[in-house]
Amino acid sequence: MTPIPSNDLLRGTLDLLILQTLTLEPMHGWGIAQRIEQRSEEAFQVGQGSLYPALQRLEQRGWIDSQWQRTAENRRAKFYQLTAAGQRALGEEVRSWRQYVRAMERVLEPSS
Amino acid sequence: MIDRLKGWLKQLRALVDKDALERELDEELEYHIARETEKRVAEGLTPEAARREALLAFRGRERYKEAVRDARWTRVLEDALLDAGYAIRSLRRRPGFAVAAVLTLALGIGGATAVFSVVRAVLVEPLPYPDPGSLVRLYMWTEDDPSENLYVSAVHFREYRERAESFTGLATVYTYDETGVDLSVDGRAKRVRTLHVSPGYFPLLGARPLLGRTFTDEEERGQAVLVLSERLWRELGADPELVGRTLQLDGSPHAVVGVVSSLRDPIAGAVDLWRPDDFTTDGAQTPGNHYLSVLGRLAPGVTPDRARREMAALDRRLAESYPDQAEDSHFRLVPLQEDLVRPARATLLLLVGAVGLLLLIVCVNVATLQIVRSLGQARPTAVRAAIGAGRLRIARQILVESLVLAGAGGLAGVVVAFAGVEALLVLGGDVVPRAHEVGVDAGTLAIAVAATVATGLGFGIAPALRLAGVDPGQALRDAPRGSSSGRFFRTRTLLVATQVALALVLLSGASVLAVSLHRMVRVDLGFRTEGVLTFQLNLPASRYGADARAAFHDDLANRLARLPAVTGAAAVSWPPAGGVGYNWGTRPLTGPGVGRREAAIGGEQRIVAGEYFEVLEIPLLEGRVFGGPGDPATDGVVISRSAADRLFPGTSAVGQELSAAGSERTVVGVVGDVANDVEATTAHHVYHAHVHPEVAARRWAMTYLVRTGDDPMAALPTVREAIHERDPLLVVHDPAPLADRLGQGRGQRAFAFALTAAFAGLALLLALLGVYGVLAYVVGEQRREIGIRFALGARGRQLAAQVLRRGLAMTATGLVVGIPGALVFGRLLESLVFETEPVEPAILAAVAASLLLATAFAALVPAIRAARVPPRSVLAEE
Repeated sequence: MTPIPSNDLLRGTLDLLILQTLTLEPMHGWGIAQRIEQRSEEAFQVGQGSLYPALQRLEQRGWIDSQWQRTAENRRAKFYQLTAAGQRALGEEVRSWRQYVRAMERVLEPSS
Repeated sequence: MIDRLKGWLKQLRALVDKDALERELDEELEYHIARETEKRVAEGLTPEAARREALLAFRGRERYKEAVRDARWTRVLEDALLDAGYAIRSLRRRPGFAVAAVLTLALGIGGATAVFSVVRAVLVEPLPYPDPGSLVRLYMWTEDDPSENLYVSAVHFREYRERAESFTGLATVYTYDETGVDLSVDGRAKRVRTLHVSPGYFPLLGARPLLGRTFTDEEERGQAVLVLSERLWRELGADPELVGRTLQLDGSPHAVVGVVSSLRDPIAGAVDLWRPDDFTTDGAQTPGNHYLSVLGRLAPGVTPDRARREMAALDRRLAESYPDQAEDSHFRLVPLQEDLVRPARATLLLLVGAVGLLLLIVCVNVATLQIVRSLGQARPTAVRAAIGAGRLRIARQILVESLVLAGAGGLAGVVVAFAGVEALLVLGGDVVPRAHEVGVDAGTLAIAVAATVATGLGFGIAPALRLAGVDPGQALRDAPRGSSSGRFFRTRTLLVATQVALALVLLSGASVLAVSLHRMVRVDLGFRTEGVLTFQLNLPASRYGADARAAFHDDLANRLARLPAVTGAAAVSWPPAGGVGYNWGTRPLTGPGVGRREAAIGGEQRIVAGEYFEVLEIPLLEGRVFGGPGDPATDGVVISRSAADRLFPGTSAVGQELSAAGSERTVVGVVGDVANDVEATTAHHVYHAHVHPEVAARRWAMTYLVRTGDDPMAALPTVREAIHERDPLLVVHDPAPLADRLGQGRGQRAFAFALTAAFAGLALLLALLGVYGVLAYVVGEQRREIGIRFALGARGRQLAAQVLRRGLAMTATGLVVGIPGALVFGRLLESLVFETEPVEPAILAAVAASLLLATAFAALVPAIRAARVPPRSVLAEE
C-alpha cells in the first residue's frame, strides 16, 4: 500500500489511533509511532510534527497520563498510558468511527 | 471528570516551571531522534548518515516544539507574561515616557474613580433603610402657589394616618429648628441636635432599639421621654443602666427610654436624640399651620400613583371637614430618594460629564505618546515580523504593554482616588447630599479596575493596529523616515489639537465660574457683612418664663453694646441672607391691596431685639424702628420696601394693618431690602419685636450680631464673660464672623468652581505634556535630517524656529476647534452662572492667548535641543 503521509490524517483519527495503541501497554512517543506504522502495514506514517502535539492535547484532555521511566536499555523516556476517562473515550470514539464508516459505505455502494 | 481536571491542571507547570518543561520536551524529542537513528543504522546506514536522515525527518524541530506549546491552554497566559516582562523592560529604558504616561493615567483613572464613587453613593445607591424604594415624602400645596412644597399640618397628618390605606406607616419629623437644645451633664451644658418625631418614625425607618424601647402611641403628647442615639450614649459613658434614668434637657427632667444605633434621619442628618412630637398643642389642632415633614412607606404592591389617587380623595374629604382652612390644600407625594438628591442632581451629572471628558483627554494623551513612541519601534517590530511573529501576536504585545501601563497608572490612581474623594467631601460637604455615605470601598475599587482596563485597551488599540500593519520588508530597508511624512504628522497634529481644544473648553469654563464667584462675593446684599460676630443663644424654658424671656434679649443686646470693643449689638431669629426661614403667609388688612390675590405674599418673618437695623446698617426709609421694651412701636411690625410695595401698592405702608400667620399687626416702619441668600434672591421681610408677648411665648433661639472692630472673634472672650455674668448656664453656641457664615452659603458655587478649576488645570497640564512629548520625539527622530541640514549650512536658530512653528501650528488648530466647544460649555454653565454673560469674549481671548504662550514654552525645550544637534555625531550614528 502506498503510505499516506501523516499530515493528511484527520486529527481525530490520530487521537483514536494513539488511544487504541495504548490499550495494550504504556508506551513512549516513538514506540507509539512505530506500532501504528506496523499495525497499519505502513499505510500510516506518523511524523513527530503531529504526534507530539496530539499527545499533548490528549494529556490536557485527561485521556492519557504521562510518566518518565527507564526503558529496557536503561534510558530515560516519557511513557504514556490510558486513564479511566481515556478508556471510556476510546469506546465512544470507536463506536462513532464505525458508524461513520458504515454510513460512508452505504453512500458509496454502487446503486443496484 | 477527575482525569480531565488533573490533565488540565498539569498544564499550570508552564506558568510556574517553564524551564523544566522545556528541558523535558527537548529530552523527549531527543530520545525519539536517537531511536530513529538506531533504526536507520540497523538498516545499514552509517551513524552520521543515519542521524542526518533522522534529523531531516525532524525538519523544523523548533516549529514542532512550537506546535506542542500551542496545544497547551496556558499558551495565551504564557505569552501575556512574556509580553509583560518585555513591556516592563522596554519601559524602563524610556523612563521619561513611562513616568509621563503613568502620571497621566493615575490622574485620569483616580479622578474618574473619585467622581464615580461620589455619584454612585449619592445618585445610585439606595438609601440605607430597609426597602428604600417604598419610602416617600409627603408635602402639601395650596392653590396660591402650586409649585411650592409646604410642610404638612398635624391635623391633616392625623387624618391621613388613620384613613390612608396606601401606606404601611406614616411618621412626622419636626425639622423646624427654632429652639436650640442644651443637655446638662454633670453641671456642664452641651448643645445637642434633637428631633421631634411621631411614634411611627422608628418602625418606618426600620430602626430597632439597641436598648430599651422607642416611643409608644400614647407618648405623642410631648411626653418628657427621650431616645438616644448610640453615639450620644457612648459619649455619655455607654452605661446600660442609663435607660430608665432621667437627664436634664433644657433644664427640665426627661426620662431615657431607649437607645437606637446607626440611624440617620434622611432629612435632618445626624441626630443626637429623639423626642416625641406633641399633637395636643394649639398649633397641632390648626389645619392651616403647616410645620411638619412627613415620611411614609408605601404598602407592598402600591404604586405611587395609586397612593396619589387615594390622597386626592382624602384631600376632598378634608376640604369638606375644614372649609375655611383646608379648602385648597392638597397633598403631594415624592419618592424619598428623588426628593433628597434633586438639588444636587444637575451638579453631579455635570461632574460626570467633566470627568468623562478628562478620561478622554487622558486616553488621547497616552495614545499620542504611544503612537509617537511606536514610530521609533518600527524597526524592532519589523524584525519580529520577519522571524515569524503573526500580526495578531504583535498587536497583542502592544495591548499587553498598554495594560501594563494602565495597571501601573491604576495602582497610582487608587491613591489619587482616595485623596480625591476626601477632597470632594471637604469641598462639597454641605452641597453633596448623603455625603456621609460616600467612601472608597470595594465597589469603588471595582470601578477603578474597570476604568483601568478600559483605558488601557482604549489607548492601546491605535498603536497596536499601527504597528501590526508594519510591512517588515519596507521598514527594514528604508531609513527611518516616517516621522516627517505627511500622514503621520497630520494624525499627531490632530491628537494634540484635540487636547488643546479640550483644555480650552475647561479653562474657559473655569474662568467664567471664577469671575462669577468673584462678582458674587462683592454683590451688595443690603446689609453690613464685615466686622460682625455672630453666635446663637437659647434660653431654657425651665428657667425663663415668657415674661423673663421677652425682655431678656433686648436687655442683653444693650449690655453687650456697652462693652468697650463693641459698637453695636442685636439679635435676630434667623441670620440675614441665611436662606429661607419662617416664611408665612402675609396679607394686607387695610389699604388698596385688601382682598386682592397679588397683594398676599409669602413673608420672611424675623424676630429682632436690640438695634438690629443700626448694627447691620439697613436703611430706614419710612416711619420708625423698634425702640426697646416699653416702646409702643414694639406692638407693630417693620416691613421691607419690597413687602410694602406688594402689600400696600401706591400708598405709604406706615399705619396700615396686615395679617402675618394669623396675627394682626400695624406697620410702624419701612426699611431697605435685604437679600435672602448669598445669591441675592430678593424676599419680602416682616420684622417683629421680640418683646411682644405673643412673640416671646414661642421660645425662639436667637442669633446675636455684635459689631466690633476688624476681627470679630477677638471680641468673643469679652462677650462670653458678659453673658456669663448675666447667666452662667447659658451656652454661647457656634460663634463665627458673619462674613464666614455667608462664605459658607457660597458653598455650591465655590464647589463647582473648585472642581472645574481642578479639571482645567489638569487638562492644561496634559495638553502641555502632549505638545512637549510629540515635539520631543519628532526632534529625536529627525536627528539625522537635522544633522544633514546643519552640514548643508542651516543655522540652529532656523531649525529651532521651525520646531516652534510646528508646535504653535498644532496649538492654533486646537484653539480654532475648541472655541465653539467652549461656547457650548459656557451655555451649560449658565444654570450655575451668576450675573455673568457666559463666556465673555475677553475671557476667551485671554485663555486662548495663555494657552498659546504655554505651548510655546512647552515647545521651547525640543526646539533648543534641535538647534544644538551637532551634525557630525548624528551622521556618525548611521
